[in-house]
This record gives sequence, structure tokens and C-alpha cells, in this order.
Amino acid sequence: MESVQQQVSQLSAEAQKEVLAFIQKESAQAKIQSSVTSFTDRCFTKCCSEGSGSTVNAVEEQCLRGCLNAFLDTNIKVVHILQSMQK
Amino acid sequence: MSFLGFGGNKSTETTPVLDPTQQELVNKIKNEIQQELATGYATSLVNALTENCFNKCIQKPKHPLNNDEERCIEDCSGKFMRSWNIISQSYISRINQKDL
Repeated sequence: MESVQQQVSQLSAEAQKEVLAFIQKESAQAKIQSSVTSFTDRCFTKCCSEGSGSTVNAVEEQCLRGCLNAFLDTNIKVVHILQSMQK
Repeated sequence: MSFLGFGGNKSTETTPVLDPTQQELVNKIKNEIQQELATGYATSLVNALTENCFNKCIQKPKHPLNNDEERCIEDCSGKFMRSWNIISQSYISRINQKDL
């Protein structure tokens, strides 16, 4: 089977453009999905490791949302700290 | 790929008209790319699930798993997926906020 690379080289400029746009869209989506999986991985342990059953109760749900937002807050804070160090 | 409330086929966008053989090749490439991404996604999900549910459900590792452990893994997986959806929803709504 030909590699994607080989196949792309057979495309017209127009068609390559379309493939490129597709890749950009799909990879942006994949990036979000992979972030979500990693956040879930992180927060599930903190919020859902005690209770049994397959449902997520209200307390756990609130914990998950808080965990996600705290992580994102930390991320933003760290970026600000690094930015201020560069000045 | 439409999995866990994500994606769905949005290939209805208007594209410049390509000649049929080119279009066919473009579609083939798109398919392969999507296949690759789906595989990567499934792999990371399986890894995250295994890690979390193994830690949660298996206290004294032995083979084969007993009924309680099997049951626990089923519940844990369902719970993880539900958590995934909650996180996904919160994350996307936060991304959509201007200040993030």
C-alpha cells in the first residue's frame, strides 16, 4: 500500500490544499480529544475513585468540573509567570 | 468518526470542484488520516481506562479476575466515559469563553 505521503504527491495543488485543510481541522479536533482524555485521566482519580457504580453523582460531577478548571487556571498562571520572567 | 459526542461527519463543506480521479484520491487520503487518528484516540482511551480501572478495582492482582472485579471494571469504565463527557463539555465551554 502506498503511504499517504506518496499519494499526496500525486495530487494537484488544488487537491493538496483540500487535504491540508482537512488535516488541520482533524488534528485540531484530535488535540482537543486527547486533552480531554488526559484531563479525565487526571481528574477521575481525584474525584471518582471512591464511589462505586457506573454513574457520576452530583458531587463527583462538581469535583470533575472544579478539577478541570483548577488545572486550566494553573496552566494559565504558569504561562503568566514565565512571561513575566522574560521581561 | 463520532465518538463520545465528538466529531460527526461534517464533510458537507463546499469544496472546489476537482476532477473525479483527484477527488477519489483525496477521499481515500482523508479516510486513511481519519482511520489513523481514530486508532490513536482509541489506544489512548484504552490506556487511560485500563490504568484507572486497574488501580480502582484490582486490589490483589491475580489471574483470572473474579466476578466482583469484572463487575467493578464494567462500572468503572462506564463512569470513566461519563466523566469524559463531563470534562469534554466543560472544557469546550471554557475554550469558547473569550478570556479562557
